[in-house]
Amino acid sequence: MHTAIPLVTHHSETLFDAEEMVLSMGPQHPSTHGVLRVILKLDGERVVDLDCDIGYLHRGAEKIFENRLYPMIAPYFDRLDYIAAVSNGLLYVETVEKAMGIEVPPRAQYLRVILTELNRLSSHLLWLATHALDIGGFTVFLYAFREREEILKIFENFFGARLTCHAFRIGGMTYDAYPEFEAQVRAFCDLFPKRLEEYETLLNENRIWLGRTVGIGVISAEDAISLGLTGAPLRGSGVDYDVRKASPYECYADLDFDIPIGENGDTFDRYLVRMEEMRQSRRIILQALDRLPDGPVLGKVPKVIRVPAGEVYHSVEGPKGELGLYLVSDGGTKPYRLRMRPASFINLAALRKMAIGSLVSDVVAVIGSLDIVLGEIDR
Amino acid sequence: MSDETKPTSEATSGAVTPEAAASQADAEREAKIAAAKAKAAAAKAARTASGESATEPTSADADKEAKIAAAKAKAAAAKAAREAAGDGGDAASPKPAPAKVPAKAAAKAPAKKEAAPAYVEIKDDPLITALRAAFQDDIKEAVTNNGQQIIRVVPERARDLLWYLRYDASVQFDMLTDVTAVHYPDRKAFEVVYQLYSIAENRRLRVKAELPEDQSIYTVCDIWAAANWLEREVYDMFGITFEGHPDLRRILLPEGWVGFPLRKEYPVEYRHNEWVAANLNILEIPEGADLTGKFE
Amino acid sequence: MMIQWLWITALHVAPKWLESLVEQLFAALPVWLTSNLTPTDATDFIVWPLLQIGVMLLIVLTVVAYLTLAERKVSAWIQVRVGPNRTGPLGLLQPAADGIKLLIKEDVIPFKADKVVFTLAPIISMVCAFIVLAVLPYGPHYASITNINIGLLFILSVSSVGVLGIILGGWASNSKYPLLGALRSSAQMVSYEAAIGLTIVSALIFTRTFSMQGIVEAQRSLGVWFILFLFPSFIVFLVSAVAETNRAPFDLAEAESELVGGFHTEYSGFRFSIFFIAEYTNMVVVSAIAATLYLGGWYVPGMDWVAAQLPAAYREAALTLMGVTAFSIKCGAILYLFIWMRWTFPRYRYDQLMELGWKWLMPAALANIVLTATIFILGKELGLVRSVKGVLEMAWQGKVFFTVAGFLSLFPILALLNAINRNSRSFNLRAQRTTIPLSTRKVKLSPGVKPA
Repeated sequence: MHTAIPLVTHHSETLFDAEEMVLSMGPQHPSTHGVLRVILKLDGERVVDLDCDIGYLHRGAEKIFENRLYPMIAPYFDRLDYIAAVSNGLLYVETVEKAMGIEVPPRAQYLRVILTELNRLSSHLLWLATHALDIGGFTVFLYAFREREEILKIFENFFGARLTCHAFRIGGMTYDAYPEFEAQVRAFCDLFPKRLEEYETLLNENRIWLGRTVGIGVISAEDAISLGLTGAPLRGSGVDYDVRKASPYECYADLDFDIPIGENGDTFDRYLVRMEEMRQSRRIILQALDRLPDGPVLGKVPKVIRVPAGEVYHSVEGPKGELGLYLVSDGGTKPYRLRMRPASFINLAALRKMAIGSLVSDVVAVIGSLDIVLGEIDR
Repeated sequence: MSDETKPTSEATSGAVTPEAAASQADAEREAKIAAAKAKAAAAKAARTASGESATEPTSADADKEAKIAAAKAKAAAAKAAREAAGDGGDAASPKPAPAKVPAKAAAKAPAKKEAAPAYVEIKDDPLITALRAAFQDDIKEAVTNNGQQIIRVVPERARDLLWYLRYDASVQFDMLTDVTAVHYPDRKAFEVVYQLYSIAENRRLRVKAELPEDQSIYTVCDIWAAANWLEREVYDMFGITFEGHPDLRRILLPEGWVGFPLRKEYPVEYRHNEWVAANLNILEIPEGADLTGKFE
Repeated sequence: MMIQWLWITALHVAPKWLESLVEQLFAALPVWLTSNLTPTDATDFIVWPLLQIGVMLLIVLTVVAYLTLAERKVSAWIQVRVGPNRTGPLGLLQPAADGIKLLIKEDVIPFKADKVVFTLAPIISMVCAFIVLAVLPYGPHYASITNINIGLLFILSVSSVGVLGIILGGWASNSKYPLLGALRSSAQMVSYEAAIGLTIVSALIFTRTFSMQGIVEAQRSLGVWFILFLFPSFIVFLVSAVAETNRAPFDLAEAESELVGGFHTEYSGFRFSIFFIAEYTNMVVVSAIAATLYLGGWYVPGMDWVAAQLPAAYREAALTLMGVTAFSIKCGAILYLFIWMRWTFPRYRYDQLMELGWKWLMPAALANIVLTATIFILGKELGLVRSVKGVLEMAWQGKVFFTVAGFLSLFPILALLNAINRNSRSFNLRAQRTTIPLSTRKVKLSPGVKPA
């Protein structure tokens, strides 16, 4: 859409008459994870400069929100980060609940946590699949999809949808879990560690995988904080920040889990962080299943949802990072302004910092390790 | 931003450093803030008194080269000019601070039980106290709403306040979570909203600056790198100009797009047909069609 | 003398019935066409080779087609999938369906492409891949089209030209991704051709000939496969061969996730399928070379004994049959290894590929030449081996000596590689943690949140 970088530049200080090539990677490219367009300025294969062109999937979501009643907005959130629809839905209903002061029944809280963590697993599995595929490991791709399929089956039973899952209502859940839910989730949790080991057998000790990820796309803790990175990219750099621990929502405060922290801030550490997060998610799911209380799943909610005038910022830990929602209400039945803090958007802004000076292949690896989804970036 | 030009005067009578054990850098910063503030206030007062219109104040101030001070003076001049022109009709008393409910909403839902929203003045918070001491009247108010702390600041000092919060305050907000804006057409103003977070203290703070529609605000790109894209998005959606931004282009919408979608006057179903026809090649244009789309 | 004999067998083997057929044909043809030829010559040098080539092309094309199916089936098996199973029984008609699909697809030549070169490039690739088939020793006697005495050199040189097709195709597309792919391919070719050439030199110390049939005969006369004597060389050859065929983990020239399609991004339809066929044919060729050089070609120890048990009339036919079968199995095993590698490993990066080529494989190949030559001379001085008219002879002590020495020579080579690469940044990636610490920070909770 715009060409910020001149097409060809000459630089005379080199020995030969070298020209830098501008390579437009995307929006149709196998490994830009959607319709991301990265404009690379290359010196040979080395990236001299880089610019991201986004917005191909822009749907004006925030504008639409301002013109919809509160209950009507919820399904739009499933379409933002369609890989993690449950987390996004959770973000929205929690924000409205927080603004209205609605109490969510405990059973609904636990169910929400289970579903959100399952969604985190499926999102991380998709990340692992595509990240490995970007680096050339096709088999891991299909292995990860095999497990993701198990989760999606549970989702299909629960939500009636595989991708844009939606069962959270303001004040709780629309319906309770189906009878075999617990057994199916437990069966999956029993199976999952073995499968994780399978991926790690293929990757962790693999010399090529290490060569492609260790020391690639390094970002220091200071830079990561300054760039506002959240999620695995931030934790991979050694910064201990997870919304689930920092300001626990739902029943996370009752659950025992750990936050993995990287050290080097490279692609490999981000990989390790996410792999460990999957184990922790499984731990959370099992604990929540053990403690799952009985009772109603929908709290007391007024017939007409009317958020009192005021403003609230709420954030949850999405699979991609901190998902924030800033709700400004004028006391009406529609939000005056509903601003989503897109984790992928802010994480993607770090690509330039991470990728300049590396090779074309590394750009692909770094995009993969940032785990972006364009539906959320473009909104 | 080249505001590293240090003010020479150490006469910082008014500035009370919140932390007594401030370093030399802290002291310098305080000095600068105090000096700039005093100057801006003086310029504003002078301009209001003489009732002159928006002329560039070519006053012979000593540190005229300090860019931030110059812009601040200019902004103050603009404000003064507006007041002089008798433009204070709609917002008679200059913005009653906690009147959050816009007129439209008030008209739509008049029979609401809670008339006053739960904005509570923050009393006993050392950080806020220190901020008030350092910024005096430039902090319009510090309130909590839904248990979240909000600081409202005049837009000219927003950058200074954010710099202070990032580097000098007792709680250093090292992460800029979000930058966004809210449009209030009846006040002809935007609220630029900065969501801050301190990882070490696990504390959030929201800084809001009410910005008249025709005014620009300083970038915080150099304070937090995250602001780069976020400010671009605010520019893209609201048309707010961030002065000193290194790369202020549209980000989600294409170059050449007309209008700023998240402004309230921008209709939801608006499409700039001329742009679509010119760039996307997918629109069959009927004879005599209105190519510009329609604003209501 | 043996080579001379092989020459004769390879070229003067046309059966008698064919000669009589040609004689009848000559009678029907105009005189000016046949005046310079005797029926025997025409049969031996034109008709019989043409027949062989035709049959061979048919077989190889079928093999290549089914190799794609095998690749998909094996990958499906590795990835816990089913693989193609809709077209015909067990998906056996899938190659035909693929071929028809590619044939009837639109053939696009980009507007700004260099049309002549763009058209020529896939042809160069395919022709070079097919020419090499002529000198491969599929089996004894009838089962080989020709046997030239510089067979191995011929293969190396022709396959070098084959890469030209990729480079030209990438360049002529006049597009950036293909250009990058072509650049990568040319760099890769230069590096790995060198490694292959050098590693073959150490094999030549034992084969004493460049002729492909001669190499097999050398192993046959000794009764062993050269992989025993030349284990390090075999490893280097195998790695370089994968790189030479542009297959994963060395498929940088077409790296799908980076360069979209690499050199064939702009190719579609049948032109694309020609590149595809060339790639798979190259796989067959490379695996055939590996089988010939290191795994005894069509020779299996004991096959002569089995043939000797049969009546004399069937002896030759049985030998041929056994030879071709053994050769196919060996090639198939190596091809399976290629496929297995492709679906297991991630892709190398460009600079890592260069590093592997120049800092690992080249020194290994060079060191291996020195070591093998030293071992050979040592064995000769010890009287374990002697050369009789260009053919090596050795007793079992000699074989044991060379086998043990061949495997032991792995250690000095590894020591050398270690010395060269120890200071390289990417040497000891394995020392990286594969688990990471968990957070121990006690977070101050927001007011109203009860701690766990």
